[in-house]
Amino acid sequence: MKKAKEYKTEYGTISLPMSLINRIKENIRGTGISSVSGYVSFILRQILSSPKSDELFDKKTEEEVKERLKSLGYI
Amino acid sequence: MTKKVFVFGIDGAPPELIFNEWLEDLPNIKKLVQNGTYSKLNSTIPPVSAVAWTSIYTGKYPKDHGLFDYTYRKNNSYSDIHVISANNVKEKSVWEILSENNKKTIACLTPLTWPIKPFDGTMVTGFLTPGIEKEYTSPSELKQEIETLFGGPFIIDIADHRSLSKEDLLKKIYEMTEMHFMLMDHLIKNKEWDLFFGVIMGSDRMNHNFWKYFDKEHRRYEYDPKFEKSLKEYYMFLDKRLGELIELLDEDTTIIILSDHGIKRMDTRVNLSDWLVKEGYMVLKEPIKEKCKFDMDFVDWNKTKVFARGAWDGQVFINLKGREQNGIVSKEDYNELIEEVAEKLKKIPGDDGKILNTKIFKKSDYSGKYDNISPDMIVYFDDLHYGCNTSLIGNDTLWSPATVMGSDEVTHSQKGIFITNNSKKGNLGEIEIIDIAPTILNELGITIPKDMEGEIIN
Repeated sequence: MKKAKEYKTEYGTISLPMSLINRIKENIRGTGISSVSGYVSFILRQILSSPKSDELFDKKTEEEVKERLKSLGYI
Repeated sequence: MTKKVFVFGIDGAPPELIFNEWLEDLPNIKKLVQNGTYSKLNSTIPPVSAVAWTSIYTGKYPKDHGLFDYTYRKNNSYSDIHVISANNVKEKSVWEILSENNKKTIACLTPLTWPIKPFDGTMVTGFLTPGIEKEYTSPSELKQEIETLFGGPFIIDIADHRSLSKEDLLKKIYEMTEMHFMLMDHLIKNKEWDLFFGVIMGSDRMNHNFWKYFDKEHRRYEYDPKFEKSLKEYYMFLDKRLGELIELLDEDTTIIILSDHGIKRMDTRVNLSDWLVKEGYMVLKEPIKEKCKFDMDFVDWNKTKVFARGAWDGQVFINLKGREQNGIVSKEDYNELIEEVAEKLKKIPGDDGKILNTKIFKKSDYSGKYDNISPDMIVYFDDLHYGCNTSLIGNDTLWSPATVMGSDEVTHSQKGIFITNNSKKGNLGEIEIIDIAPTILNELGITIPKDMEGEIIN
């Protein structure tokens, strides 16, 4: 198998007020995120990459997936 | 050394071939089988990929995760049908549970993981991802990383396989699978993980498209030397690539190889909508003059007692008062109607007059939190050797191989495969699909949640 190249992600540092960090820690307790950095990164990515519509799975996208499922014979 | 678990899914891999006929030609799988524990894996009712993979990664049956098909009826509407996504999965995945316990996961190409829910680790979403223009990776910068790795667009799934020639389809499946293995190799080497959960879907695409060149007992068997060995050769290629991934693992890594269901030939289909009309259970506003695409708008709901959906298993619904928008069947009459319809369905013969081994599952077989949306009956005509056609109506006979989208040569079978190196017990016979999640958690020293009913296999 062809070997893939190594790819390292670079990180920077941002500052957040401790009160906000503590609120985030409360919010992520019992969820699938174990670090404040992970949570903040996830939320910011969602905001930066969100389509204009609030609905991630909009009607057009759903229709495309439906057509694919039909072509597979699954529906 | 920190314990790791490597889970590798081969969608649709059938035990009859993997454990028997082909085992000698799959040296890496054979080594695991001979030195470990293996069994058939009892899939979900029904055995469809999105439903089954959800059960695998949540440790819950459909009765507890609420998915019974690729689509669902919004608010129990007759015709407002929607496609499922990860938003419909309300139960926690193993990787979410691991995140709560400071363990990281690489989830690579797992079906029904888009859109991505927060967890600690790396994800590339799989089957049912709308397209690579969507956020299909976590972290999102992985998307750019993947494009750099491959120098171009990444193929999550083959979008247009019915329009391709068999030659082109075969090439495309291999191209896609090579990309998937390269991606898995890259992630295993470069990302932190305690659990790796990867799935190959190319096997299911091969099963559906090349079975008729391999299975001489198939009604539509076609001899073509170009494709006669394609199916087996693909699995041999999978085995080779799997071996290369296994070489990357620490020696004490627990390995789990599995499939979500198996595969079997499909002879033809029962025209279920036509049957319901003929038996008087479904009444149409106007008689059908010629074969056409069925629409729920054809139905006179004030006179209809039973309706159905499905292209593989038949999903039968009673037009129940209080649940359906125009329900006419009372709760008091429900059980009697179910029994009556079930008995009649079992008596539908094959197109050659033979008695079919039709299996009926009633709500009591999968009763749980989602009784208000689950089908009232799930039907496996001739144990799924006969599919179901509910999308074409006005057919000349009770049977036809095609739905409105065309025909298919195979259907999913109830049993998949399970192999692990975590013990050396040989052939266990059969395990349940919900045993996988607790087994993974146990291997990583995580307490099994109380609502996981499956057993730990070790």
